[in-house]
Amino acid sequence: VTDARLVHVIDDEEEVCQSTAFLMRSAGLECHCWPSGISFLEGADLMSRGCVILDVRMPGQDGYAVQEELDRRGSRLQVIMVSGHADGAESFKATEAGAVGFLDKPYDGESLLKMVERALSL
Amino acid sequence: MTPQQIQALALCAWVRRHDSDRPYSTSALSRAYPPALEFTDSASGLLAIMAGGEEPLEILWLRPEYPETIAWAGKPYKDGVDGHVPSPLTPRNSFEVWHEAVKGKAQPWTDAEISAAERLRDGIERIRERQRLNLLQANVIHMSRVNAMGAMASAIAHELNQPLTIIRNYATGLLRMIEGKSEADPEVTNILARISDQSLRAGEIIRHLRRLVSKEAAVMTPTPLHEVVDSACSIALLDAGSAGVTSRIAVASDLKVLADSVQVQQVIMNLVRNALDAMAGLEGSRERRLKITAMRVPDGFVQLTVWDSGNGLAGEIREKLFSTFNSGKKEGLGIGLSICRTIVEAHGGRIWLDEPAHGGTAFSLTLQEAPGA
Repeated sequence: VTDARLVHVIDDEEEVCQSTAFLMRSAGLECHCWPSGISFLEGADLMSRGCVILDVRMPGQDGYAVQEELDRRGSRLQVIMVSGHADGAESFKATEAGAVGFLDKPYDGESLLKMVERALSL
Repeated sequence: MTPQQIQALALCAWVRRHDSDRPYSTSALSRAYPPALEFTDSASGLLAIMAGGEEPLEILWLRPEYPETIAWAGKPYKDGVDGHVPSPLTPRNSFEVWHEAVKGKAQPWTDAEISAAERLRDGIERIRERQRLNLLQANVIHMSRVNAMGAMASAIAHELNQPLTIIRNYATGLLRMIEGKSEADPEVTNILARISDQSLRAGEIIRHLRRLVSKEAAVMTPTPLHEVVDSACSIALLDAGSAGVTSRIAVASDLKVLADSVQVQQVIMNLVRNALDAMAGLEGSRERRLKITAMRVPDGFVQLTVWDSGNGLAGEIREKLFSTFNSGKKEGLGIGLSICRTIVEAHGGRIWLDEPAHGGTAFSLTLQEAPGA
């Protein structure tokens, strides 16, 4: 059951990961940080339940590539995409790619928590 | 307009129908151009050169009719055809130089005259090409400044979003942690809420700025990619840094992308200049090669790659390559690639540093292929 409360944060900037993890812990959620899509895909249990906060723009594999790989491997993890470079079309693109939520950076922490709670209940 | 001017304009228009790469010359204009019969006395011979471009130019030299004399070694018509036998000695008849005037002919143009005209034409073309490039360069520099303001604002905004996100995450998390506790100091709670609010406000300012920037932004039209690449290169390669560089451009002429050509040209110029800079410091014996290639990639995109045979980039430069105010060059501002990325992403594409197997440095970017291309 604890697995279902697990949140993964994938962002190439470590401080963003750390602060997001802190925010998750403040809401009683367990959080794992990953510096890249590859490290996440290789290290995380993709078959468990939980939620992924995924940065759209990262060097190497971007958020969409990670989402695609999750789909390909049949992962049940729910994806929330975040981007600091979004234009109007990005949120549409993210949801089309299969994300359950999308937020512009800098987002309101409470909104992110609400989105995470909803994703974990799915 | 005077009748002469009208005639001259009509003549120019007629001259235009000929191959503009070579001088046109005739010593009997009215035969090729019957309207010239009206002015054979002033223009029976014509030598013309043409320069192309946006302002076509014709230069005409005219020669008046010149009663051409054909010197025969004797009267060409035989005496005696009318029946009577000529006297064997008729010096005044048989050695008299025969003059025959031919209407509508001018003195022929010599090879020297024609080749001088040809050289003049080539000189004019070269000067015009240079002027065209200078004008283009001036326009691009102007547009770059206008665009750079917006792109820079947008690039900085992008960079600020990361630290703002971090501040908000910490402030919101802290607030949640202490709010549940009975001994929480209301002033601390209050200040944390303000930190959170202020970072939200900063985020709003950035969003506002980006909306302003995107308003003046990109006019996307189907654009032949090779044209943009050619014009960017012709400008970038004017720079002194291109000395000794062998460049090869392989962009298929049927590749069209959806783009604001000025902005994309700026991006390519930037990449080409970077490539030239990267090769400027190479020892004399090393070859300096620049290669620009393009190909179709999945999902309706076209990928353009700019490669140079320089030393490649060091690890620490690679990591922060696209960040604003981060330059690997001594005199660089560190906004070039950041602006490039802003522009490419505004076009719905991506830009990244490749790992070329054969060494050097390669940047690739994608742009949407224009539909129906």
